[in-house]
Amino acid sequence: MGAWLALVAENEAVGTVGGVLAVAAAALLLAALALRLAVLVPAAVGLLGLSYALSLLVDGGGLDTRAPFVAAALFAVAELAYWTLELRDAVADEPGAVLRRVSLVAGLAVLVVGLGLVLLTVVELVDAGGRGVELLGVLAAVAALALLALAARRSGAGAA
Amino acid sequence: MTRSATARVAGYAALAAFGLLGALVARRPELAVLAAPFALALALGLQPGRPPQPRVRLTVDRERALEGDEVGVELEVRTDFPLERLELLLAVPSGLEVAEGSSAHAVRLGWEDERVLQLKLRCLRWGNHTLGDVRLRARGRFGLVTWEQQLWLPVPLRVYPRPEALRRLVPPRSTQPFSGNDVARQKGDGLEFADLRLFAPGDRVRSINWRASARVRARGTGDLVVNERHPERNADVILFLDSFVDARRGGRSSLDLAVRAASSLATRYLERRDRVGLVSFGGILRWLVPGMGLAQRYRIVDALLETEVVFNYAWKDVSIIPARTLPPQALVLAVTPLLDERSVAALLDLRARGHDLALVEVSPEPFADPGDDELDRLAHRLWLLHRRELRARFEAAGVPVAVWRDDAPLEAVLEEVRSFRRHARLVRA
Repeated sequence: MGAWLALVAENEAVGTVGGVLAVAAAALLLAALALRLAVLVPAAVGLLGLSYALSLLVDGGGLDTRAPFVAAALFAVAELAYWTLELRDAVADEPGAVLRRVSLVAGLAVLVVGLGLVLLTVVELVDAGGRGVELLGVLAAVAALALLALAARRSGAGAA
Repeated sequence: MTRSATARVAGYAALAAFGLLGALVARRPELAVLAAPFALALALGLQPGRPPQPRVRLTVDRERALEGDEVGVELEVRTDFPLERLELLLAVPSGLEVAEGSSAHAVRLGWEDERVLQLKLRCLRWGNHTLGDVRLRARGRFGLVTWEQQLWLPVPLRVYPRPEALRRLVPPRSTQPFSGNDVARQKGDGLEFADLRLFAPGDRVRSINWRASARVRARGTGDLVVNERHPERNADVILFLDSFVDARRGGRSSLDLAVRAASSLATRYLERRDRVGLVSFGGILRWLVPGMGLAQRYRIVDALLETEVVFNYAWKDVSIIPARTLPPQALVLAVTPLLDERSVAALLDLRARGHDLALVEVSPEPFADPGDDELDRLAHRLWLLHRRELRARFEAAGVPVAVWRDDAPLEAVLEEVRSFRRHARLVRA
């Protein structure tokens, strides 16, 4: 995926940096799987996302319709990486568990693509909205982060 | 069950946060789209749900097994609510290993569902094992939350030592009044021919040796001659197990061999209708008074299974052993590595008190490395010389010492003891 992002970049410098980021992401992912360090998985996914963000910022232009597909790919990479780490626990799965899991990841990826397309459509619709819509977006983002923090705290309290 | 968040929570939260912030800073909604799946997964996966309440039952197809046997184990798990992924791990105690199947399973359960997981365990070492340490881990949606629980469902499993093939045993010098398989030295009713003597009033007619009587009559004396026979009697055998010290290397140990030898000897002597007792002489003294039959066999083997090395610095001698445990005419068969001074002194003391004693030395020499440098090798040679001198002390006291290494059959070791005792008998005669 990193290689694809580097290849489709319009700017040569962006392609080079994207390639470096992709290699770094692949190395991090390999290290995460080899050393069983789950903390490196989001770092690797983040680097891939950064590569895409860089191409967006430098190349500019309007809304990129590839974003939902990139999001689905990143989510699938993260899910598959965590699944690989779980598989190293040497637990015997029931027959059909692998197929069910692959189907689940594929279904989620399709769902993500659909969600992304809906979001992009909404953005296009409210594009002419001006400051009010922008303020609404900021508030939504803050609210989303607050919800995440609250959920993480609840999860931690449950663990204790 | 204890609930905890997995590493995914922090990872997905970080990715979602960076994506959303990046979208705001860079004013690119595409980055929010990148963050959306991670945020959505968090929102759905961290919703407080009903904690899983699986019920687990552990069963073993038998409670007793021999070393090397395979034992079937069943883990039955039930739940009232669906569980996307429930992992079960049966902790296998040392001395057992998984022969078939897996000790860790992952299952997916629906409403009021149940699964039976089967595996086979191979018994590697004798002992009183207890299965029952079961660990459960249920994963929530998207694997963001796990519930863990450790259950203790004790199921005992007794693994007996596999008996060695023994065709002949060490015959005791003295026998007891009850009938058995040992040919007694005394004369009486029996099968084994002992001697001839002149007919005396009261002798049965069937005991007259007509051929010998004809030869005597030909010489002109005219008396009848009768056969004398050795009766078949049983004997008292005391197994003396030295459990002061255990020489161990890797998965092998001298105590394992000693217990295996003692178990085999007890089984074979009891099959011959002998009375067998046990003295486990070590940090903890255990004893069983001599007895016969299948019940005594199980008592002895169960006592052997509980044998372990307990460190104890107290000096112990024969006087602490109850007198009725050591009948005066019993054959005392000691199984010992001859490593502890206390057991050596106790065995010499037993001999000095007139007990019929024979030693099977479970050699600790294969468990000791000679070492790499010259000094180590010299010390090792000195130790070997000391051991040889120790054996010579016993042999000088009329006690046969047969060295047993685990690569040799026990039968061959007992033959050494028998030949020594035959030799000693000839010398005494």
